[in-house]
Amino acid sequence: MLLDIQGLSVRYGRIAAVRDASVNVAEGEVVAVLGANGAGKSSLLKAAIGLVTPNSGHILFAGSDATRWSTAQRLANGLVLVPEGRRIVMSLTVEENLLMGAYARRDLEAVRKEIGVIYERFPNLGERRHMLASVLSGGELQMLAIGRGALARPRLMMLDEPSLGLSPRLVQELFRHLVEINRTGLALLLVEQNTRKALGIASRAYVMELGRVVMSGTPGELLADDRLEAAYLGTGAKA
Amino acid sequence: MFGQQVVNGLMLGSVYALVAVAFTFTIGILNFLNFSIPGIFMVTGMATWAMLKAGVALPIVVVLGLALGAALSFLVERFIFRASTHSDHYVPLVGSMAFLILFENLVLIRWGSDLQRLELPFADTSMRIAGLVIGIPQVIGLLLAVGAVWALAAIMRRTRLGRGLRTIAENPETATLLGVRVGRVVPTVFIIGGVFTALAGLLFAVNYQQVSPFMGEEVALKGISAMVIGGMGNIWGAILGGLVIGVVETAAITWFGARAVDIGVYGLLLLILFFRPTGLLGGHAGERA
Ligand SMILES: Nc1ncnc2c1ncn2[C@@H]1O[C@H](COP(=O)(O)OP(=O)(O)O)[C@@H](O)[C@H]1O
Ligand SMILES: [Mg+2]
Repeated sequence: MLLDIQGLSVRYGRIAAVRDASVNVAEGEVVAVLGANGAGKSSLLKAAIGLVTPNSGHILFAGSDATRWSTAQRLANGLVLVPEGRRIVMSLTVEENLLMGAYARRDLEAVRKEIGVIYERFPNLGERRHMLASVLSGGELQMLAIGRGALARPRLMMLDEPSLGLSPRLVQELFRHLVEINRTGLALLLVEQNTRKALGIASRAYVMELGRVVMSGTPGELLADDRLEAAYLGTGAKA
Repeated sequence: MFGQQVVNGLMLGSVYALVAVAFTFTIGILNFLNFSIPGIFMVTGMATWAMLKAGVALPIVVVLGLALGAALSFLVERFIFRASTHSDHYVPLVGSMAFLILFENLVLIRWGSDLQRLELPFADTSMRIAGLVIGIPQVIGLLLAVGAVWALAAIMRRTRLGRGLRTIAENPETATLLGVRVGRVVPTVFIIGGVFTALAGLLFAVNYQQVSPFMGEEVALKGISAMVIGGMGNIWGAILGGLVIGVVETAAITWFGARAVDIGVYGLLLLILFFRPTGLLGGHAGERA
């Protein structure tokens, strides 16, 4: 397994956001994490990238115990998070945001080349490269966030609700792009509210409810199970 | 003569400008009003006097002075800022004031409260350009101040460190997410602030040839005013504000006498705040170049 999260728990004071959750992703795989608002999906990803400290459990990455690694160390080893709400730095230009994605890298030649590829793929970003990121539209910001994540040269990209706030046409384009980058060998761990879209590209999925993983399986298995809808709507289908 | 007042005012203003840059840089990036800055200014001024009196050569004094400023500022980061990462923002503010008082009292114990005079043979060398008398040490001081800000602006605008600092200024958690080791970068902010402050202390000592354990306090007020006049967090604004205050102060002395100085300077501050609450170059974050 590339990423192996074992028995993870995350608490914020008295709130238990994640309880004994185990999630794994193999090399090159696309895995979805589904669940209603507040189910603990973002907390799971934040713990995986080291933004929050788990109360118990282990995070193994590429065979090493990464539980105590700093975020910078996780990035250097090939794990990246494209966070909820994109977190683009609005006082930096488009290009500077991309360069921030490559913050830990020293091979600037290659970075420049990869930025050029992103501009070719998303000409809107290329045209606005020297403008502040705040001029971009929602769809462009999301593509910038994914491009920035890719510039860390990850082996696994975790994405937290990338389709949030995008028009159906842009969601379409986003998922097409995710499939494209997955074909380059990049594994994806995709948190989504857009269940159908996510199951459309994932080979496996987990369903979270109130901090626990209550179901997992292939898209076919999950779609055949009416507990999926219950969990997604947050109406407590107890596993 | 007006031109001469402007020249003298710019020289004085460069000291305020450097202090203002130190203040505005820490505020712009860390949202922290660091009151130890005037203390570091004073300690460097006093150390300059003590070293010159002991016969240390000026270039060595400059290097040691800058290193001292950087080291003291680093100390403040370790003891105050780092320790109060999770406290309310006024906790490091009060902590840095404690450092100011500590520095003042340590200097008082060591050297007493007297005003100390520096003997510098080159201090009065000057040149004449278009009828204006321009002191050479003052010109060097002004050039150094502008050059240091230019260098800082270039670092902020063009380097990886600058991008990291601007990201921290906008959101430290986003910076962490992108792989910036925030805990290791923050000390650089203090070290840069310390170097600017020390440069101001050195320039003041050499140009005005007198230092005292209380020299930090007036410069603190003028430096903070310069920062506000220029626009909080804006390093070019800090330079502009410092030079404006220097010119207003010198002009007020000449035309209305020494008593008018503070009315002129702080009256101007209030006027600017009234008409342009965000300052002359008003923006945010330390990166605006
Ligand atoms: N920083 C925080 N402080 C306190 N509670 C939080 C914090 N972040 C999330 N929570 C709580 O943790 C639970 C899980 O949140 P989250 O991980 O954001 O879920 P999801 O991403 O599935 O919507 C929710 O009850 C939420 O209110
Ligand atoms: Mg979430």
